Amino acid sequence: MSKILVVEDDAVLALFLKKNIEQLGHKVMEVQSSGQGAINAVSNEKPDLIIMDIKLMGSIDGIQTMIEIRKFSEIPVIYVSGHFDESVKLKAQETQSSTFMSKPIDLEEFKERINKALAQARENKK
Amino acid sequence: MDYYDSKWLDNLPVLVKVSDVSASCVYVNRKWVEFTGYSLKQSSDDDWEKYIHEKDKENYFKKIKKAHIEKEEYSVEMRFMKNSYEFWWLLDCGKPLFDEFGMYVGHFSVCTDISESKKQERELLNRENQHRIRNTMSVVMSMLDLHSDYIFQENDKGVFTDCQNRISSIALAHGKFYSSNVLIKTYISELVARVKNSYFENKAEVIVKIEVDETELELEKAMPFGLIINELVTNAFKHAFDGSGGEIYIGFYASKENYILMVSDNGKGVPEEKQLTASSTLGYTLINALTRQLNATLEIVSNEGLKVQIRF
Repeated sequence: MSKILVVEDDAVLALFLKKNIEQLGHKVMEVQSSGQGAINAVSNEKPDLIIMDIKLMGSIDGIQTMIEIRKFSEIPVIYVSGHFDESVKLKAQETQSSTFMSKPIDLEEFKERINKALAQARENKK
Repeated sequence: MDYYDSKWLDNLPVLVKVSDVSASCVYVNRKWVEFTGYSLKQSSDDDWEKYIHEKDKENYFKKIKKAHIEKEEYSVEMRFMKNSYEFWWLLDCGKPLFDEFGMYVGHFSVCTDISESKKQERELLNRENQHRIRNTMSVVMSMLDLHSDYIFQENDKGVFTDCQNRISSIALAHGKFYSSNVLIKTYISELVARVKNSYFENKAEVIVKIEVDETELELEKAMPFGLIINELVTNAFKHAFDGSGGEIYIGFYASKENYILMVSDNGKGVPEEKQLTASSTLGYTLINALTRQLNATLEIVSNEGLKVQIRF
């Protein structure tokens, strides 16, 4: 069972993500609504994967949060957002991620991306 | 006031106009004439206000009037109609003019074409609105997904899934909405994939073929269009085949005259096609209503399967 950190500031969306991640047989380690909360959570306990919304509560957005996390961790991340334009994608790629999911989330695609990211993470650990 | 008659004003790459104390135009430079297409006479006509966009008139003349009365600077944006009948956004910045005795003689103003920055501003606002709509749609869809865990009757689950797919087709149209149109090819492909996924367990043997012309539709058309496809493809998955598998075909052709959507299957068909158009099922009631909304014609043929053609 993999541990996944969900960073999403909308309560209903966070519940939806949590439910579907758990249905895949994984554990949602924590749900955080702010970038700082996510940084603290990863500092305390290392998840296997982060699901990161781009627009977050507080002073830093999802990409900035990942830039901070990258200073001490290589955990894979899947970004979710209502809109990805090229500048957002380029900025996000600086955090060693090219996995983006547009809202509204397609569940089949979401599940596939999670499994792929976790498989890749396991491969990298070998 | 000789200085505004100077030739150097004609050589400036900006639009210049000068007004007298009563705010009537008394000079325009060459760039102004070239850009707007109006001569000095036309620009100083009493009914000059007709060139200003209806929505900007009140604010524009209020500021101009105040600036002339108070003899002060002004800066105001407005949509201005050229003699080609196109509206362009101009930023009009004026400064009061005084003669050598300190007497106020009018205003000197420079107009800048800000149409491009206004367009970018609108696109940015549009993107932000789309982002908000997509987030809202996500919340609605997530809410439905969470609710689905509390439905225990199989029949109710089916109704709920249909409802989720209908909302999903609207949400997806917003997801494929860029600048002012929806990219139809990817929209149809993803829409059909979603419907297929929701009935995948029962219809593993159904092959879906899609042939779509690369084109765009405005959102107002793409939403009813997407809902129609959702209903037709859902019906085919649910009712066309008796577990024996088959093929569903979705074609979309765009010509100068019209668009044609074709959805067909090689399933068992329906006994009488008339029953479908006047059907009491929600699916066909929606298809009929949405067809009317698109000002489209609907043709249903049941012969070795079901073939539906919508032309708009």
